[in-house]
Amino acid sequence: MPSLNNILEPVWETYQTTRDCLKITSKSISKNQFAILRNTKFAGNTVDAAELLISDSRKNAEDFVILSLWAVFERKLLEYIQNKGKKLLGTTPTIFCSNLHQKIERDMEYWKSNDLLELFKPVAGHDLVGKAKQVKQYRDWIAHKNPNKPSPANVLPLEAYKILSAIITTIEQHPDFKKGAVLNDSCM
Amino acid sequence: MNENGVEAAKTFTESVDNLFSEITSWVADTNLHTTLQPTEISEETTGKYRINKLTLADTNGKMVAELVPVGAFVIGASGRINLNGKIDDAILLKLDAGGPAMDIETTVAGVTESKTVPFFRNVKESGWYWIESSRLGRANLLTKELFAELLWGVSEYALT
Repeated sequence: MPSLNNILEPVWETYQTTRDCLKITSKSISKNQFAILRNTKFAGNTVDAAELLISDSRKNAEDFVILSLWAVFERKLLEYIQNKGKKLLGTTPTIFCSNLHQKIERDMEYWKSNDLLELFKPVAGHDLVGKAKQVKQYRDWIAHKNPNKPSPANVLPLEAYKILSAIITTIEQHPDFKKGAVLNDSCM
Repeated sequence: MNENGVEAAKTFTESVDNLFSEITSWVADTNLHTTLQPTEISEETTGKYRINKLTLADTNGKMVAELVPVGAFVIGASGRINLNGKIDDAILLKLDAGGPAMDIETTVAGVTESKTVPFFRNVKESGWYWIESSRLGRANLLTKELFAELLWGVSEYALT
């Protein structure tokens, strides 16, 4: 499903690479190949301490990729809206259209994520938007890490990547958002 | 916590215990020893509940790997367990036959088109599956042979 120009792909690739690097480092430690670890964080650590550091980093990488995927995804949604907003200006914008454009540009940074997602329901559908809201909910739980708050539904990094990628791909294939889509440029 | 949550936690706990019994039987004739240890999970829908994790140790008592239940509620699955070793970890999901899917609906000029895209390939029956993230969603039904491969992958421990 992810397209060739998937803006989330670098985030996913970095996560995969990080996991592989941690695996390689673990194998070096278990094989006592400590020379490789010179000038790294692991030099001078006991084996147990190094293994704990790697284990913690693996868990953190899973959390961080969810945070990163969401950040890039949400910014992309705002970009789609900004591009649509520019249509308000047209070739000879009225004062009203200019004011409306300014208000959207200013206020959209404060829109709630769920409200932002709702705008894309006609484009991506109820199910995908609902799943994206679950990703957001899990993302928020990770970001706040309140030990007194029970976890919402768990989201695998792979699932988050697929859901958010599917939404972006669907938006970009929609006639309203395809590059070069021509709309009536008069505001009123 | 609601009744459905309590029921889901119970079903998940039973499913985990069944899997752990199966894994214990798989390693019975090897040098690995298994130990069940109680742990606690807290989920929005279920509240707090107690569940077992399974530790696998060698003959010197050194931990080789552990299977840690994560929760009953996962997008598209009815449970998740992590298989953690010092080299890597692996994700196991409880899936129904066919596996979870995304429904994509697009409306253009009042006409809605729908398509269903599965999350994972190869989910032919209900059971516990290992999800390969490196191959973008291939699911592999957990068998004794696959478990031995996963154990090697996460800990470089060869079952003998």
